[in-house]
Amino acid sequence: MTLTVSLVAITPASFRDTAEALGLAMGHSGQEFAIPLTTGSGVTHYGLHAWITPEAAEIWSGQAYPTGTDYTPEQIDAVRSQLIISLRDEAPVPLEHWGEVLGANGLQSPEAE
Amino acid sequence: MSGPPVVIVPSLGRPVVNVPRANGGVPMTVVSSLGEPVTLTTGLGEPVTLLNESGSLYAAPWTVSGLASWYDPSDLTSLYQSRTGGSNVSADGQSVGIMLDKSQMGGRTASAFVAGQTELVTNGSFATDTAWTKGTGWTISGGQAVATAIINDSAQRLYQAISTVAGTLYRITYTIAGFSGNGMSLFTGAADPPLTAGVFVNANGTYTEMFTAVGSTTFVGFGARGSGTTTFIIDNVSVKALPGYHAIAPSDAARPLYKTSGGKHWLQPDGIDDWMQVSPVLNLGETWWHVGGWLCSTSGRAAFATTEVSRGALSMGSSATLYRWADAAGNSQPISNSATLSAAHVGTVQQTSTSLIFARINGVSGPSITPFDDSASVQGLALFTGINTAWANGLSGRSYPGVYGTGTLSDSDRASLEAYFAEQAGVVL
Repeated sequence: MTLTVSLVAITPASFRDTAEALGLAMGHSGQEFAIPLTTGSGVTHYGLHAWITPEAAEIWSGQAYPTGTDYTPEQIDAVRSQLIISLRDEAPVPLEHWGEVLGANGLQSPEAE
Repeated sequence: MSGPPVVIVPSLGRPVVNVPRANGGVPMTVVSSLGEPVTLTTGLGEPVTLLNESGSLYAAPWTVSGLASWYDPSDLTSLYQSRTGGSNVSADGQSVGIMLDKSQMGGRTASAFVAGQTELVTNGSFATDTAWTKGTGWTISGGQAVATAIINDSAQRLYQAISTVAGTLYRITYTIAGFSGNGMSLFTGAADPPLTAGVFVNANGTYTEMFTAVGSTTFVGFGARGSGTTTFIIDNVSVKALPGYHAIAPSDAARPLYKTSGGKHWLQPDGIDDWMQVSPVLNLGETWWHVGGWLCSTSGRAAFATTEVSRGALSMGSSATLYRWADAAGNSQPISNSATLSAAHVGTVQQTSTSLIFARINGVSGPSITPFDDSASVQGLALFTGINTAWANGLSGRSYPGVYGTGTLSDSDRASLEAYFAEQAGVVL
């Protein structure tokens, strides 16, 4: 299994439980969006970074759908539409990828407020 | 010490340095104090212990008094890609969900150690129709167990009780054939029948999973998952104990990468959310030590935490004072001398009492300080984070093999460990 794609995914804090529920149904931990983020006051978002396969990247980008869950493609699309998703290959530096996505969306860590 | 054979190398002087992990058939280069390499090739399939000409033991990690945990990314059989088990890491760039502690494995590879562990399942080959409790829809015959059109119901499980130690990690393997339907999985737990589902399986194959025992008896079994009916054959069930303090990623996103280059092996946390909890809780107490290889790519990041508060964590700071620890007042203070931040190095940290902690970089001691009193905090080792309950300002860089221990680390053992891990990090002391 080759993990060549850098994934940054961010969910609004109010949507976190819904996003984690889909992840749980796909076999993840239910605690994937672990990093608190803010647009300026309090925790407004939660984010994650992961290395994933090109096949998983197709799911995150909406070109494919996971199997083995009771979620319909429409339900998965509805969850995905609420997330900030950034995928990069060609050996990105994770911290740079993360920082650029946060910057582009006006997000920072709460300690940096 | 017991188990591994001893090879006496009379031509070596003292001290002996650069002794790579020695496995069967793998050449290892041993460099004496004279700087002349000696190449040994063992065909033993087991590690060797080196004695110098005077009979003094070269202290390999597994022989050091007080050793609590030993993490060895160079042994791929100790690394699992998933946080629930699955396949071993086999190539550069794969995620690491579990890194086994090898401190109790006697210097063997993890796979060799597991092979020698007692089989805990009775009649895992289903040679007879015994030992297993069969729920509705299950039969045992012809050397296999068959589930026919079972549904996800605790009354339709195949299971047995095994003796376990609470908090200990166990590895289970099983083979699925003839699969059709929705899904199946392992079920474990203290309940009879077991209720905690493992990985969702919907294809034939041989599977490896881990579970942590919660008591002296654990029920282990199999059943259907999801909706609808499922039919499958199960065979070759095996459960082995994995004693030790293992490093486990708390989520999929938290898994660091395994990397290798030039014969060196390391874990590479991303500095964003990668970290590993040590389970069961490893309380190092107030007298402890660590020796291991590191490379820090970003200043001010935590290599490991010993408590729930950041003042109980090793911070890798600026290039002028690489290692920092909180002093009695809670202020971050240097405990090592100058080193290059982004270079591989061997770091040693020793807290020798409640009033003294210091570090060594590549064998050179730094200033000692009185550490912050974190004894009232929740204790427990965690890797690549500043606190032991979550990711907090964790390492972006490399974690080469290393050890953690309790009590006093003798000067000679420390020298041996620093030499051992220097070789594994590609550092010349």
